Formats: sequence, structure tokens, C-alpha cells
Amino acid sequence: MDKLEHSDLQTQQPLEETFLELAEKWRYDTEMFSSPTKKLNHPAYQKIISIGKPVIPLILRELERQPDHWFMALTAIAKQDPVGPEDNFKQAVEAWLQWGREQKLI
Amino acid sequence: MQSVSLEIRFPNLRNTTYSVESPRTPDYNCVAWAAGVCDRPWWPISQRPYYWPEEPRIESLPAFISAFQTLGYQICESSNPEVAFEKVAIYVDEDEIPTHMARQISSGDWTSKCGDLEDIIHTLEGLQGSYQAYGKVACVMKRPILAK
Repeated sequence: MDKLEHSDLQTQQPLEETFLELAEKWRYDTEMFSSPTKKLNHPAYQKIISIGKPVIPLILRELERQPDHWFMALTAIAKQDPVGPEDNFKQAVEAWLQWGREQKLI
Repeated sequence: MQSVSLEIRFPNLRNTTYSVESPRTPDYNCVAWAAGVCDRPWWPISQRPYYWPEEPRIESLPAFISAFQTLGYQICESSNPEVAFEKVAIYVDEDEIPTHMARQISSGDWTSKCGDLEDIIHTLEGLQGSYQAYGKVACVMKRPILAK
């Protein structure tokens, strides 16, 4: 994966505010749904994905703070999936956090 | 115990009997809970860690019925409790896409994991209703209770 650009880091503060607002909106609107498709298709989640690579460290930190259904966004942006076929939810969270540490993103 | 978060999303709960039985967690979802699993969510998509017991993975009522047939369930007519059988119910939205599953307990009530929210014991009617509720019950399935 490409390293983060310097300009990405300069804009990290407002990006973090934007991300947290979108994440909160997404969580509130979809937390009653079991369907990951409904979660994926929520406009706030799609907007987070559209931010692209600069948002990955923020997603990973949020995943570490409060595990949630960020797998689809991470896979869509990073074009990778470190989760094993037999991994459960907690193992999937740990797989992504380990991936983030290896990429020096968290 | 009652839940304001749940009653906002499922207004029918206010007029029916229900109780909250667990803390919130995203570790598993309603389909996993109906299948008796609580360490990973079940849904027919290819993204990991979402599990589905068979291929292909299609978000449709027939696909959900087929998946639970692999667990020994067959379609039945009544949601009333039957001795020696356990039942699950599949809810669908206005497009007939599954939104939720519930599992019957011995009292005749139903247990559900409501997305990432709590497990509750409830009536089938309690979770029915238009968006953001789960629509309507489209199918009930049963299987013999397995000897332990």
C-alpha cells in the first residue's frame, strides 16, 4: 500500500472531525440492522469510503476504541483483506489492527 | 429492563411485552443468534468475517430458508410453540429482502439479537413495522429439538 502523503497528514485534524461525525451518524442510523449491506450502503459510510487512504488510520483507531463493522470500508479502501476465512468478529478486528501496525498506520 | 434505543426503532415494543437480556455487541447478529452462534455475524455476503453456511451467498428469502434447511429446519405454518420442536422466524422488508431472524424459546416467546444492539425476549409483533423496524414475518421454520 502507498504511504500517506504529507498533505494528508496536514489535513488530518479536520479530517478526523469529519470522520467522527460521519461515523457517529452511521452508527446511530444502522446499529439496529443485522445486514452489513444496509450498513455499507448508508450515505455516511459511503462518504467515509470515498475519502480514501487518508481515513484508514482513523478507522483503525476507531476500530481499536470501539469494534464495529469497519471491515467493508477497510477492504474497499486498502484493497486488501487480512481476515482469515475462519476468523470470528474479534479475530477479524485483531487482524486489521495487526495489519495497521505492520503498515505503521497506528 | 426496557430500552429507549430499541423502542425508538421498534415502536411496537411499547405495546407488547419484551425484556432486554444482554449488553450491546457487534460480535454476532440476529441470524447467528437464531442459529445458536455468538462469536461471528452471519449474512450472505463474501466479506469476512461474515459467515454463511452455504454457497452461493444471496440476500433473498429463499436463500435464508435454504441456509436454515442445512441446519435441519423446514418451513412450517404456525408460529405457535410445538412440543419437541424449535422454531425460527424470518422477517422481510417491503422488497421481500430479509431484515431479521428470531428464535423461539420454550415459553413461546422469541429471542432476538437486534443488530448491534441488545438481545431481547419479545413477541413476533414487537419487531414488526416499517423502516427502521424489521418489516413483517414472512416465514417460520421448525426442526426437532436435538437430544443433548
